Amino acid sequence: MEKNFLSLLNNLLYSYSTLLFIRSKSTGFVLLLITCLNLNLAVTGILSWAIAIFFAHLISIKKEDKIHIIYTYNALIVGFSIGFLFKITFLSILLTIGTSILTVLISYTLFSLLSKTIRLPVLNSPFFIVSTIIYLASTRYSSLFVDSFYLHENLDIIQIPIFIQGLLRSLGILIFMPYDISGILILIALLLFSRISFFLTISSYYLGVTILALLKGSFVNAYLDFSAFNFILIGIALGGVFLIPSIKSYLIAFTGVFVSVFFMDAISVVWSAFGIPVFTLPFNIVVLLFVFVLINIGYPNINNSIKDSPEESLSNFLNFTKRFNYSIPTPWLPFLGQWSVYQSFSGQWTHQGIWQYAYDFVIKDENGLTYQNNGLKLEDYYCFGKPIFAPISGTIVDASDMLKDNPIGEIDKKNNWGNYIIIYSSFGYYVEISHLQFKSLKVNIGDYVVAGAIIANCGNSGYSPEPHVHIQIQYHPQLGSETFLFYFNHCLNEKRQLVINKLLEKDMIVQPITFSKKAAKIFTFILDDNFQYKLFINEKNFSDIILTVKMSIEGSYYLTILNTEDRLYFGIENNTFIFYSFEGRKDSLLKYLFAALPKFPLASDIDLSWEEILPDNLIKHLNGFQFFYKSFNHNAYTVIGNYKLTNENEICGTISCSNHTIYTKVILNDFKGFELIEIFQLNQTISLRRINNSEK
Amino acid sequence: MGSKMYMKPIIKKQLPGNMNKFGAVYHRNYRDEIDGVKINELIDRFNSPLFVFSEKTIRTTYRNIYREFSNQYPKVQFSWSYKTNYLDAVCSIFHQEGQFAEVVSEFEYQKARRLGVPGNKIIYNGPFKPEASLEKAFKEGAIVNLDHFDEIIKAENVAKKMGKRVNIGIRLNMDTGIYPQWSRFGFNLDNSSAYDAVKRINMSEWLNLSGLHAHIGTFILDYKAYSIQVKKMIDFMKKIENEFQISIEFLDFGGGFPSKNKLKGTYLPPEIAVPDVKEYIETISNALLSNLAPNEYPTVYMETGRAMIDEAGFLITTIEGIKRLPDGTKSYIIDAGINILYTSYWYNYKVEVDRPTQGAYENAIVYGPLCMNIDVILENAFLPPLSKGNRLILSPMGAYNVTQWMQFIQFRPAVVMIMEDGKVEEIRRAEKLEDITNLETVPEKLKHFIL
Repeated sequence: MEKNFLSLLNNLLYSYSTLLFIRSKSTGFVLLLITCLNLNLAVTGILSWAIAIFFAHLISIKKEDKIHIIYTYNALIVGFSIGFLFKITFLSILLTIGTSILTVLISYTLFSLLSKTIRLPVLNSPFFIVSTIIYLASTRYSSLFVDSFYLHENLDIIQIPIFIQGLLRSLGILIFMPYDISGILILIALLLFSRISFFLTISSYYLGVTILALLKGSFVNAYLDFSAFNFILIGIALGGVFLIPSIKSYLIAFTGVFVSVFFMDAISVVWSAFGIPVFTLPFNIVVLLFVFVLINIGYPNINNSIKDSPEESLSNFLNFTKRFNYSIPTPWLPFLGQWSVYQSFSGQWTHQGIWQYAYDFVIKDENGLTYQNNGLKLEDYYCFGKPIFAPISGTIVDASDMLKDNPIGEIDKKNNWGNYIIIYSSFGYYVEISHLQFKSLKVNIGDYVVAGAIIANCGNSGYSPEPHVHIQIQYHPQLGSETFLFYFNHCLNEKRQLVINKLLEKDMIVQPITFSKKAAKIFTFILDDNFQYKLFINEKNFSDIILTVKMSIEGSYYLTILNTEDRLYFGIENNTFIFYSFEGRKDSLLKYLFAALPKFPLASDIDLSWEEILPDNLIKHLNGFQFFYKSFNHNAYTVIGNYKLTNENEICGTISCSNHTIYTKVILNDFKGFELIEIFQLNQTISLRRINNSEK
Repeated sequence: MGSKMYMKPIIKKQLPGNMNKFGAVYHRNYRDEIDGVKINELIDRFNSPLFVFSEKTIRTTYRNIYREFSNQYPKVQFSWSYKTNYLDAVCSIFHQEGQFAEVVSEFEYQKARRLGVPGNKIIYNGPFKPEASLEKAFKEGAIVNLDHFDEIIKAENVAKKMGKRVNIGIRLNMDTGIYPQWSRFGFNLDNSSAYDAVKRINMSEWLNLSGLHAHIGTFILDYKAYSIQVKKMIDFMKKIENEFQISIEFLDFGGGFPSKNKLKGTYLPPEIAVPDVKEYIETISNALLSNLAPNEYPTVYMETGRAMIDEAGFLITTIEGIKRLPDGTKSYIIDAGINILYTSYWYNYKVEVDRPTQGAYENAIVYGPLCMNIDVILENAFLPPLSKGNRLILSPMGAYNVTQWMQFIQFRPAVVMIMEDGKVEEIRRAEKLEDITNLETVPEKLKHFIL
């Protein structure tokens, strides 16, 4: 019962804060308080919200998170729009019941039409539709206007210059409180909760108003235009909510504000004929228009995971895109051991034009030669006949090994590609591998291969002066299709550093990681696995903690400290153990584990080292202004950790912060999990030592 | 070596014993240097006889073998077979190149640790491991391969005493078509004694089976045997993994690759009879890749000894006497005997002379300096007429001699290494009397005698 009440209260506060595109109980509470300055408004709003929830419950709409907040917050503003015009009477309550139910129905319909099919947000279009309907309808309901619209002039401050008043009232109108005081309070709430939204509010408002004034010839008129609040909504929605905050998103937001002026005036010409305001129609049209176009042209910085505030969305996006780049194919190297890049992207000989994105590899000995003896026979070449492995998991769509290998000194100019294999990845691209050895195919067309499976041998067929292997990525299955950019996954350079999302230069010595069955076993965590640790700070024993493996509702696994709500999400992807994200208390010990091993290739190559970008707020807490700055420069304040497998089971890390360096150490247990997690920073050593070191 | 020397034409009667249909391949070549260092210079500095190792050859051989293997299988780790040659300098080169240590006794284990090899980079094999050394190995995380049931029980007791669950491997033996079948080591795969061993280990709460080891023999000339070995071990691995829900992390295929040495009793010269190491590696990796899915690849340990070092070693000897035996056979007496040439029992070494020599080649016997009838180094060397003071350079000499040699009658000679930069380093000095007598104690009563 208590829980139900709490979740209802939370929903109410979130519904309030959603009016400003944020999700914060405190901001919601501030807005709730502001609306209480006009009790009539507050009561109607909450009534409308409550009816919506009750009705949704009655017809058993499932408590899907997204649709839930859409109808509750729309119902809230629909309630405001009624409370704004009419005093609470039996009739206005009747009206509220009707509009609230309509809001739920329209919200659900629009959600199904827009969000489920074409990934567009519903915004507050249900509010606009319902309010327009009810305002139009109410012109016929003469009995409603017994008590007239009443003013709250006590909430205005006369002395404020008009250009500030305009901003404050436009803000206030977002909650149907177009007064100076409410505007000031909302502005303060915005400034405290999100600098990005604050910035967008101010800049979009004045930009929109300026354009309006220039077109209409009067600034005073523009400041007094109530529908100018649309500029603010467009600014925040495009600049910080549906797009990732960045210079580009700000420019797009300003463009949106600019074009919205025409919509606003065009719509008001029609709407004013009926004596009703344009509500949020310009905002809805402009935002949907931009988002629809940007999604369809594949704009890279669409915010697919809208978080509680623009800052959090930005942080989440950067953590995700910088740590995991899923947009560019990352096949594995198609061979084993050390090979040398013979020709790189845009290589001097044949990797030109539409075929620029391709690599050739050969094997070289320590003298830099690709062959032994005198190199006159194919067998002299180190790479000739060496096995070639599937670089991705996928289906063999085309393959041939009918061409004889050219003797040294001859080239087959008729069949450029030689013997080849084309593999289709379910991610939508094709990998093509060329110059394979005559009669060396180990797979057939139609076979499904997993990454790392042997598929053929390296040969010297086709346009190949000496044995080598050629690899490229294309988006069409035909031999010789246009090539596209890709990076290799699990690729080590000569210093045994992982080369992540980087071009391989000519003559670079590269080698794939070798995965270890043992490492895979150590990182196979099963639900309810328990690990007990003793916590030491500067060698002083503090308390015991128990780490437990749990699964969240949507199926992601996380580690948690028993009896806390901290969550450290993890998973294994492409033979790499990954800590995805952390949720919980600021001083949680799990953060140290995250920082000490954010990613771990399941390998046992000693001296293997790699770099990893650490999520914001893991090591260093950025303040609001730093976040605001980060929206202009996405690389600012990035914390990078360097990790090295110093022993088969020991990983040492170095994290450079602006003013100090943090050293980390993780020792793996022989069978499962972590034996020791240690962090050294600023004269402090924090270590977690496993108590029971035998397997259960 | 300059231009070819003029040799007076000679008519020589062919003896039936020396002919074969392929024609004989005789090493008429002479050698006056090793890695650019003159033979005379070496002997002047370090005296004859002298073992010489080439750092360059050792490194190149390893790198070639490792490159071949690592280009064909993702997880291969070579471990240096100490018994083949445990001179510190030689082991250090291999460890610098990344090899683990493979030891078969407590002595070798200590030697490897002393050299600085961490415990967890040592593979501990062999049919006898004393309890104390087993405990040390477990403590230091060595990879221990157990040989028989009593050793399983011994290991279990040690682990229990330590209160630590330990990883172990077991040695297997099997029929791979090779004769003789080395069935005295490990558990037999074909009669299910290996299966019983796994079952026994699985029942123990102190032992965790993490690897399988087998070494099918030595100087194996048929590389296809390895394909059978690999296949049998993978099948066994899959069977026990499924049945006992365990994870085998390593397969150790031992060694046994031949070097380019001529086995006694073989007809063809080693250049023809001994397959290239590449063939062995290709056979093993093919068998691995075709029998395993990519996510199942275990670490493969290789303990290749002989093929890695044999050709990097030479022995320079000096002719001290020439004799014609009553039956007319020419014979030479050199200053190195079978006490330091253990491998002369089964190899006909390649012989090179330190200078071009004129005259008719004839069969000769080369004797060592020991006062023993069996001290025959070469029974049938085809040599030009040599004189006292000429040097004979015997090779390949790198494997087993400097571990199996014995101090008998004489001092064991010095061992030098020619470094990559051409410098010569003495890596083991010649023995002195004190080296041997220091170990001895004479009871008080026996200390004085008057003759």
